Amino acid sequence: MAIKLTEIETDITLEIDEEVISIADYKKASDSFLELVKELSKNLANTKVSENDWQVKVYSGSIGLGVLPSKNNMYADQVRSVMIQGIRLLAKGTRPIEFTDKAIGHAKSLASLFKKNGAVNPNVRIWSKREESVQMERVIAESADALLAAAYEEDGSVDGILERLDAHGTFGFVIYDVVDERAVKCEIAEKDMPLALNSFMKRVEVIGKVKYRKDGMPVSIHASRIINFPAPSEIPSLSEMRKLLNGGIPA
Amino acid sequence: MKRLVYWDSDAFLRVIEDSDNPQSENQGCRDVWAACQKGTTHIITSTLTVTEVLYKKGTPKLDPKFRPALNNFFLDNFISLKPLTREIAEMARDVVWDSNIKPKDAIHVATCAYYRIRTLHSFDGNLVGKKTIDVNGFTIDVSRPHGEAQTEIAYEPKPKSE
Repeated sequence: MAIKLTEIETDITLEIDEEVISIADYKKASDSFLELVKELSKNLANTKVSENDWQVKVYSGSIGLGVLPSKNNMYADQVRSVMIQGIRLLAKGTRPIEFTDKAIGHAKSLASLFKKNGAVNPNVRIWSKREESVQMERVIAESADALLAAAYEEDGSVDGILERLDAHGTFGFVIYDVVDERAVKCEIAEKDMPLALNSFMKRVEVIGKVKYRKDGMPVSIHASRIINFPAPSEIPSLSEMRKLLNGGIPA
Repeated sequence: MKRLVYWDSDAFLRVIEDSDNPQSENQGCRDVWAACQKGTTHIITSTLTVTEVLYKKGTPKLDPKFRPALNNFFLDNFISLKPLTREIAEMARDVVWDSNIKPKDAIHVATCAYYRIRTLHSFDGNLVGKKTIDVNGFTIDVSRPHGEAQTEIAYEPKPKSE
């Protein structure tokens, strides 16, 4: 049962117009919607985002979930506008400039609900107050896949914290960027496994053939070298660097 | 959440240059560096910076025997080097065209925009004078390096009325 327009009291509202949905779909819908709100907030607030910046309202008599900004939330209108415009852009195959990879992933999840219905668009909408809404069409999931897929390969390097190791079938690990925690899969030769094990939970630079997305972000790498970052004692201080640059006399 | 700032090579040269001068005008650089060492700030820069931080104007080039030390300097935990890829080079070309910025500086601006960093620290008069730079719809605030406290004082939102 659809939400009546006059009942909408929240700034951003997820409407699921289905009589019965599975637990898995309900969980996926609510998680993806709330994570999308949080991710855009984090990206747009330009300051620390508090857990209390948004409050959730569950609508009775229909499957609706909305969020209301708290008094201190100064970025709510921006998040609301960017979300609606961004989803429209995604439907056209364009990456919204304020959408991170995570945000695109959450939008994809919402557009992938009720897969048993096949290619039929899910009856899922996101409302901006009572003013306008956008349907989460299947094409959004297709666009997200295209935007996040590897498109070309080049020599290069990536760095991050080595947090997952895998020796099942192929040898490899996953590194996570120290800033945005973006994951890059690294395929390695068996002989490099001991080095990878020794580098577990440490920051490493991996050199090799990098697969990039269409927009240039690395997705995976076939590693030819793994380089450990130096220990703190091996990093010159500012004072030592100053002496070096002032004529090459080390401290 | 860590504060993210983009530094061009000038900012690195200044923080190194002033490391032993507590009265320096570049206190902001040291504030950012101290915040990095505390783990509250992270510096992003282009790999181009590695090539630019090699010697100061008017001094001889650094002896290659110091290469390992220089390499290690940029591998500190609070620094991320971002490669100059084709996408960034093309974006930098747009910056040269659209914002009247020199090619090398444009590479820094484009790298900052590509990784969605909203704050760029520089001592370049042309860049800092612009205050904000729009790169294909993404706005970057440009200023001389300064610690986080300065931003917090400048922004005091009024509470929303009921």
